[in-house]
Amino acid sequence: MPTPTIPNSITDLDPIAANNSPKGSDDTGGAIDDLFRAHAAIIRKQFSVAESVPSAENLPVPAEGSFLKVTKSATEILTFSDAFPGRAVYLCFEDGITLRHSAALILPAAADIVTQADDTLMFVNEEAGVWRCLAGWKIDAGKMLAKVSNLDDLEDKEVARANLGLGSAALATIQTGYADTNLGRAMIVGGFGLGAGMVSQSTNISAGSLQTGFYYISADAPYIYGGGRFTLNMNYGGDKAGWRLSNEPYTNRLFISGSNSSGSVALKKAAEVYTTDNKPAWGDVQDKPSTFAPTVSGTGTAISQLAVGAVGTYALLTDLSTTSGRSPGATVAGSNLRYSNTYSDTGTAPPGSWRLMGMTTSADNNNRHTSLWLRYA
Amino acid sequence: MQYTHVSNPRWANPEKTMIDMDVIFEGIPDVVPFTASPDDPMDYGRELFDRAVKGDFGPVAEG
Repeated sequence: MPTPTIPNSITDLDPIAANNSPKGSDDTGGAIDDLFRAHAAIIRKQFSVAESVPSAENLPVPAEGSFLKVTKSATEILTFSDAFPGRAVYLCFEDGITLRHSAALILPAAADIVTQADDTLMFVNEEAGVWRCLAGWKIDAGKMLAKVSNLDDLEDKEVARANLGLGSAALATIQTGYADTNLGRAMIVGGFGLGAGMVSQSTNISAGSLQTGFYYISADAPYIYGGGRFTLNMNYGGDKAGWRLSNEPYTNRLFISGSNSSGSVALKKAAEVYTTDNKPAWGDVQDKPSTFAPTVSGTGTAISQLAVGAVGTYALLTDLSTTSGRSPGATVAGSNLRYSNTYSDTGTAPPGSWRLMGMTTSADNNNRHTSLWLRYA
Repeated sequence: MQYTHVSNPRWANPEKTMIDMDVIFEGIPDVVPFTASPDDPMDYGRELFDRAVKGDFGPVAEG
């Protein structure tokens, strides 16, 4: 009987049991211990550190060993030599070796990799002639992805952002404070008083420097434009005064500050807005008469200047609209009445609406239909 | 005086120099029978006549 072949390498083994040594027809009498030791060694070698290999366009990857270093010789690696389908290995590279992505060497995001010292990548021999990079990381903690770096520590940030599904907002630096005015930064909740409380403003600041937003001008800050301290400030052009709405805290007092002049950082002095809950005082009214209290002579003069037939005037009128009498306070349209005299001669009709201030009685005689009337509308 | 509503305009005389109408004035709760005339010393009275002639309150009925 033939003696069994003692396997020496993983490549001497076969996934099909019948193809491995010893065969059923072999004489294993004196070799069984060698066979066990050989298989144990083959298994152990798969999980060991292999000898370093120099970089080459076709990198020689040994069939055994789970980790090995790739020293720099050639500057580019285009392919790996085949081991066997399923072979997986971690490769630790020296600095400055370029791995070129291709159908034979499939790299993450289909992008080339330029190694830095101790970059360690895992590869698998996917099929004959094809190696795929499955994972990788930086051994040096100082080179690991850091949140604060905002992906700045990646070789190709654009590709990384695309892979992470990030939009252009990922490029913006976040606002460092509620009043951070650096252009292009991503606003935070509460930035310039939006979505949170008003931003407290304790210094004497010009309207041109105060960006558009909601502010509380604290009581110890000189408020150079007047108005209230709860403020909606609208800036123009980033450094010029626009206009401003404000309210004095805990009162009904509202103010508007208008723009001053082109390019100015200053506003006009705040103007108070009068409302139903904040009516102007007598002293606030402009162009008013010097005195308002009516006098006897002034009232008499005013009445004397009323035109005939004006509201507020009396007239002796004859009511032609009815033969019935009317009581004091009756109202009729002017077309029913005629200017009259004590003989009840009649003239034209007055305009407007009239209230009977005397009385009339039932009779066909106009004398009883003539009385004193007041125009009220 | 300010008026808020005008209705039922109608000629007040055969010469058609005056128009009767029903007017609601601010400050007066009831509808006021009113005679509008172009010679009214009150400006709103002249205005009401002009607007009635223009048909702002509907056609002016025969009295």
